[in-house]
Amino acid sequence: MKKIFSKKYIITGISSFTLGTGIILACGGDWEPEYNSSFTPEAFVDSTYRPFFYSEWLFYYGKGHDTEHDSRFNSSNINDWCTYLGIPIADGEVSHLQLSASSAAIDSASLYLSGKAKALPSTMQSFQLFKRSNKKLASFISYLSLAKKCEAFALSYPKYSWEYETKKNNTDTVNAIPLNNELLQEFTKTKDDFLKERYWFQLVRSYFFTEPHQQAIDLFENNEKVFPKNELYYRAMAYAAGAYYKLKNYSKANYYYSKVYDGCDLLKTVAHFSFHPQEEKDWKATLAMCVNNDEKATLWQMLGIFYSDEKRAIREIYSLNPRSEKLNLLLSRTINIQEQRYSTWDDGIRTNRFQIQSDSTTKELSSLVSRIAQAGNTNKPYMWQMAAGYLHMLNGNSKEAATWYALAGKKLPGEELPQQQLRLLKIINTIASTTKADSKLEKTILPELEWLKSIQPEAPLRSGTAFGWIRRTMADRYIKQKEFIKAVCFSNYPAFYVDNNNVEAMKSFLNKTNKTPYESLCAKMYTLTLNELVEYQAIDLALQDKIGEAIIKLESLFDGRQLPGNPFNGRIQDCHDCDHDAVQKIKYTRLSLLKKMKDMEDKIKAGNDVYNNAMLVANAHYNITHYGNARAFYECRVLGEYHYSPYTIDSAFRRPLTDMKQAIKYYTLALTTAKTDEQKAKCHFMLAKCERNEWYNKTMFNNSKYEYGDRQSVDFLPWNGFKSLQQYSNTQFYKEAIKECGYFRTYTQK
Amino acid sequence: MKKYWWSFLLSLMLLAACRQHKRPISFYYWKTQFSLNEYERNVLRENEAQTLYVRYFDVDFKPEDNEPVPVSPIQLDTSIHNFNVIPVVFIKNRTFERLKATDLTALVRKVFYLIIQINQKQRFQTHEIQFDCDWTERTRDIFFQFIQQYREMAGETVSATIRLHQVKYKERTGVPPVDYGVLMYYNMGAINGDNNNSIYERSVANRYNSYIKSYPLKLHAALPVFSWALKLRNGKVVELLNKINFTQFENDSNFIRISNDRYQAKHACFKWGFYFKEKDEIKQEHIPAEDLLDITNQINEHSNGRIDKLIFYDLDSTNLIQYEKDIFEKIHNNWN
Repeated sequence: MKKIFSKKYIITGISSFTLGTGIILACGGDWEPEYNSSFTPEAFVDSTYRPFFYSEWLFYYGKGHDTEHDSRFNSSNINDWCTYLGIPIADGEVSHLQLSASSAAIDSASLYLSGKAKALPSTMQSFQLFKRSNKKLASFISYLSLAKKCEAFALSYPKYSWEYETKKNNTDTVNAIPLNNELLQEFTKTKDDFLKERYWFQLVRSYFFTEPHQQAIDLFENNEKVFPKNELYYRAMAYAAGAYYKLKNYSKANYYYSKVYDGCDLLKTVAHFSFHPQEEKDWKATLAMCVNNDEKATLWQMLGIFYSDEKRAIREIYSLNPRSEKLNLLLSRTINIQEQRYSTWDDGIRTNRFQIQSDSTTKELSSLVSRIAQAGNTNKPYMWQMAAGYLHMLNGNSKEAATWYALAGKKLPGEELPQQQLRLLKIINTIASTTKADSKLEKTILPELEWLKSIQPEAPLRSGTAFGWIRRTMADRYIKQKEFIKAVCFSNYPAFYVDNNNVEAMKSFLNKTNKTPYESLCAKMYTLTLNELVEYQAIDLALQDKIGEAIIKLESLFDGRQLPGNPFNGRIQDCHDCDHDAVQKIKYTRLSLLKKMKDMEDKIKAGNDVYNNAMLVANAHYNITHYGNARAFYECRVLGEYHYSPYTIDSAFRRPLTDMKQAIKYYTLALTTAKTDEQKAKCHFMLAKCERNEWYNKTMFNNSKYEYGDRQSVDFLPWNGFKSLQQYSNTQFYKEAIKECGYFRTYTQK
Repeated sequence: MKKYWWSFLLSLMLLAACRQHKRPISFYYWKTQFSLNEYERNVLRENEAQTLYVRYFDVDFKPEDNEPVPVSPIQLDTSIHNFNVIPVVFIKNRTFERLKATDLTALVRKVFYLIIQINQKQRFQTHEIQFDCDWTERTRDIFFQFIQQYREMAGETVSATIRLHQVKYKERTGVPPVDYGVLMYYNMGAINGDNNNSIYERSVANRYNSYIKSYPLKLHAALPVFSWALKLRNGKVVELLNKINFTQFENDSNFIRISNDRYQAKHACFKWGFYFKEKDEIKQEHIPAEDLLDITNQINEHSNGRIDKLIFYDLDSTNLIQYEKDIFEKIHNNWN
């Protein structure tokens, strides 16, 4: 099906305001709701309305854009013809003829069937279809021959968008008069209803494209009563609607589009796209054309959904017919839109979080929904009761919510999704109505949490937001009650791990064999494993220079992670990529690095080559922090990964992962034992690097307002290391430092 | 005597030449169908505007696509031959956010050949191009490479639109490798429901003015002669109503005037194809003649006489009828 109003699209689609700012209306990403939602439309609303379920960014839920303009009827077309011809769909022959064969090939087949050609085109020679030649087949092929000629202008979606001469202009190249005459002749002549309807459709469509538009309207209206109201009927009606639109008869065009929208599911998006009242009088005239309340309800539903005035549409439809199923979609959309107001930005996790809070803007909707729910005269009273309860619950009125949920539960259908929806809302309400996480609540929610935990991410029920809220709410309560193990099980939080006693307590809890059912659930919800805790302890010990203890922990894990660069490198200018690309004779793992460091520290203690060993241990300590080339050393589930800046390290771990203390300790030791000026120069420079990093830590990285580089003041100081280095200007190292380090060069020039 | 006669004649000729050397004005043409009405043709004739910056197409890399695509290429008519046409291609910044460096050359070629195809349809040629892109720090490198490659391939004069923030933060956003830039002296404020005008506000302009003098590129200036209205719901902009005649709200009983530049919908209704919910507000934003003269004063004061040409956005009688006929002459006379 072609989109009827490409021009309309063009007008709205171009960069009308682009020599300036624009409003961003859409962005990419997953099609599933990425916003906070606990109200599942699928539980209540007919699936044919699915494209109109609320979608935060792109209008059509689940698909974003309608890209099926030329293909939406392919399968039903093939199906219809196969049924007509009495052949199986699976052999793909009809599909080939309809979708792939060229117009010329179909013409050749037609000549073959009429005996005017000796052979079929090569691609069709093996077709079973032609082996039992009959009248229906001949009719099909001659129909197809004309249909292919119409497709030259009717299928408009450009195959290659950079081609200026798209098929849009192809009506210029088709001689429409003989084509339309042939179609008219076949339409008039044939007695076969199946064929007659198809020729009728082809001709209405052809008149729409080749004009005059009135001819398309006349042909449609003079014959529409004799045909069944099937897909083809509504396709023809959509072109008649388009013709009315072209003639600026907007009220009639929109009336037809509303009938198309209501009558043909595959054309719902097309009707949405084309439905466009211009003035209030058009809209009123369209309403006046309706022959019954159901048609009016369709129009109000379209207005409510397409122009986002759900409340008005609900009121109007409810007054026309309270039992109209058209209310369901409007209610689900308005609830899905409203629940977005209960999302608040959480800077910590950089996303919106669901939050129960009083919001006065819900009042109007809440009273409308409650009034209808109270009347109980819709086709799904339980949906309105749940919605009323949900709106009350969102505003913190859990008592009223519980009353509505109880009512909804009384006449709930046996289907799974409405049952699950009510269960979900009730569990939120149960927790929201209490303030403590005590044993009574734990007992109540245990089976509910086990159920929530078992729901798969791809399940239709929107449970993720609610489960996230439950986990955080319970965790907050447990923290207040100082039950930290339960808190971290419900919602993992980094600060827990800063105290090693907590880590040990967590390990004991995970190892506990006689857990209560609630404790077992907590352990299942906990996102880390015992090994991951030990791994973290090993890293933490290494950062504290307790290398021996770190080795023991790491050895128990069989950890073989390789480090990308040589962790003993110490550069004038840090370059992680250079270190990672450099050829390495020895590839260190976390464990082999620690063992090597241990050897060196032992040598230092024994007074053996102290300068060199201290320098290498210092480099290694430098490199296993965030500033060094071996960040992979500390990356783990507890501390996090891929820290592209210290700001991305959780504040609980930012200090240990950027701390220069150990590096400074060993560079200072190296300095005290350095013998040559070259060695001393190097030590001073390395200490300057550490001093610089500490200065960054204190002035920038502890202040989130500088995260996006807005700090305008100086970016380096005359470090003590630089000052001391000046006395070694005769050394080769000094010269290299001048060459490589712009800061030092600037400093020396001042 | 003969000698003096000749010098007198020469002076007259020089004077005439000076008078004729009036700096030209131009217009942007920003519709998908090139077709001028009588009013627009008159404006061009009366102001001797020969050059039109014509939007040819947009380029966008939509989330659902695998490659950048042209959006709504223009349909020209034969009257295009009467003008010196400079095609303008608007490239949505997200195109460069998604484009891989390896696909850059292909995009350059596609843009180049699409312009040729559009021109060929009318059997004429263009020799210059302008790129309009609200590039950012993140996309500047690939956008500048795009321009560079286009220049090398087409061998044409290439210009780019320059937004005021790009002038102020040139160290961050860079200066594009073009022959000249067109300083967009409008759309400087946020589009929101407050009482400021997002198209032009002197106080906002003042935040940028001092940076114009030192921008290291030859500059033309684009001035706004358009208006729009903002549809506000609960104080937030929900839709831009482009090219509407604001005065028509006055005679519509569904609307009530609540301030000098605002109407409110008394009842929900359709108007001009837009739907208004009850209590929606309509805020008009337009640039009156005195603001246009003020803009030229600002340009005179802050550009050191370095603006070579004024280009008006955009040539559309819906916009132009809101001004007196001599507005362009007045602006021109006011411009140093």
